[in-house]
Amino acid sequence: MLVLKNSDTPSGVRDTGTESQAQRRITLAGTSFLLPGNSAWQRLGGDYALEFGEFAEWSSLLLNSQPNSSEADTFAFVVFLQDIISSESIPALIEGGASPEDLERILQPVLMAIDRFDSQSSNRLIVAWSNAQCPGAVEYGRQVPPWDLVCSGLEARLRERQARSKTLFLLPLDKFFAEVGRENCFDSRNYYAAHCRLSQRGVAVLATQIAELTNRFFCAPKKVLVLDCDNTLWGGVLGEDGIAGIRLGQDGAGTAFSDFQRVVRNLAQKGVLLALASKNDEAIVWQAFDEHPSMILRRSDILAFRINWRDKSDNLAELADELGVALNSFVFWDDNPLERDSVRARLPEVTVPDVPREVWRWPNWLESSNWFATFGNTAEDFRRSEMYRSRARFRLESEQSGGDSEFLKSIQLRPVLLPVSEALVSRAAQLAMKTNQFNLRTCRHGELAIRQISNEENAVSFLVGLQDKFGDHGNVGLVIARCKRNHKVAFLDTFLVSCRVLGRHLEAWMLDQCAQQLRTKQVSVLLAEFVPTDRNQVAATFLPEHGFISEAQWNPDLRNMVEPLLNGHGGRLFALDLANAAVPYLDAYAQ
Amino acid sequence: MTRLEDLLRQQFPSVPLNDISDLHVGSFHEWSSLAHFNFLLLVEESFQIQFTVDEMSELRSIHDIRARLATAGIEA
Repeated sequence: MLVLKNSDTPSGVRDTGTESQAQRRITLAGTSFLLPGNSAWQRLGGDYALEFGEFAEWSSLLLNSQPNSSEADTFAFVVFLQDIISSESIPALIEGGASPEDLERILQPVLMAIDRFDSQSSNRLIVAWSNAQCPGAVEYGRQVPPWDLVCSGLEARLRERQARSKTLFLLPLDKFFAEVGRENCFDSRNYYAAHCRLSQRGVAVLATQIAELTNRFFCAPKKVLVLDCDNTLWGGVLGEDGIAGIRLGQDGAGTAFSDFQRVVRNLAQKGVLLALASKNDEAIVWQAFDEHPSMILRRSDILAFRINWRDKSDNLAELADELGVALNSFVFWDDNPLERDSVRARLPEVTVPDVPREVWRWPNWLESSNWFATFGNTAEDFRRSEMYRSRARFRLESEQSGGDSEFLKSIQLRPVLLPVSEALVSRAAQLAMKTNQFNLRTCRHGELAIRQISNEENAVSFLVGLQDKFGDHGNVGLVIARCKRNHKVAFLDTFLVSCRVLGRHLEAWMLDQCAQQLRTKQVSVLLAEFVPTDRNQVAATFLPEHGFISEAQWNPDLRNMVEPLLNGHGGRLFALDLANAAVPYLDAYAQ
Repeated sequence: MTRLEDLLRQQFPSVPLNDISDLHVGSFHEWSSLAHFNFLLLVEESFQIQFTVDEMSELRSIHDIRARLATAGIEA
């Protein structure tokens, strides 16, 4: 096994420095040599420790995977069909009519190794595969060429396995090689010189695509797409050309703008929040939305907007505040490079793509980007726009009423406690990954960890759903408290509430429910930690305001009780005496 | 700094390099056969040139590489 340290990798590789990222490791094994230390791996090597198996070792690496390695670890297995299937077996495949049994037999060594890994290890496994053969047109003329049969047979079998596995991720490499040209990605010279089928460019494509997948394991997708209007949603300048003069929906570039709007609308339907930031007169923009016959986007698709002549950075900051979404979840799309540079300089946390100059490239470019992509949308994703709208209505009415307890009583709050069942694991993990504001410890549990914790005998873990007169907010809270068997102290591992329901004291109700469950387990003290980040100040006073005693005020008895749980915590510690705790702010939930 | 020096530093970021003219595979611990193969691929990509299979094993030093690049009209 070749272990590649950051110091071994070519320059451009950055040392991310954070503890959580330093712990992440990717083990790569290929049926061909993968060129450890090649500069192309820098796309991946900066964020992860890379370990390379010898190319002949892939089978034993998969078969002998360790069951208890860290969840943060990922195994990437790169398969070139021509390495695992001899060309001699291909004529037999054709003569036998390529029955499913024949394919199964040919693919069995690879599938068996993958199955063994999946059953033994809790690590994520990325299987990337490629068919290095590219037959000519004649071979496709009357039949599916045999290597294509093998390739599609492998994918079908892997997809079957994926449906049963939470940790198997697939990367059909030929699709990505095609984007830059197969010829550029393979290099027979490298194969004969070093048993590597790929060119430098091919290794770069492989590294980039593995990085795209692994980044999504740990980083939430973007939430908000902010769009310019002139020369972005339509061609031309509305104020000069008028509604009849803009290019939209007609032949040529006008169709490209319509298609771009279609892609944007599809994103909105999957839960991406749309906003406008345009230097324009507001009235004429909405007139174009309402009256232009080829507008695909509707006014109702736009969740928030700043249409004025001010600096766009100021407008984006205001939009972030209005939506309650951090700027690092924003993508800003503007045709004007000066506006892009200005936003980049003033708001470096915003993603500002250098969009192609050619508008006709935009629809595909946006569609194939990974900013908003997820491994599967939850029900909450599809309803996200509606939820943010109801949040805006709540804020308005709350401000008008002065935000008192009578107002909260009037909005018919109906919380529901939901055990973290298998069906809810993905939502629980999504909340743990994405919630930044009301999150006491910002502990980024993935699905594997959530599943493991929810099965712990002595843990209290639940999701919280909420409905009120503003609608069904979905599952918006997560609580995890862990304790050892027969122990009197529990530790509040995770306590978070989605920002879209803040202001309702739902967190008080969640704490009360948690306390009730812990009392039934004979737990008498709940130890909690607040780990400050640059985003969670809204939760900074929650613990002292809800009866928790800060560490400085613990008496010796209390300190002795919690002492065994104190190691490894760098945040501010608090403890709640469950026997005497009376959680405040529950009036609105007492009905 | 010449482009070849720059590429050598890219390939071996942790190695302090001064005059590279006389360096070759094995001049320092990190410059292994594999690292050299990767370095040649970096050179190819950077100068838009392709070495033959034989050249991949014959070009063993900075001097060799400079001489080969010179035949293609590249000063490195």
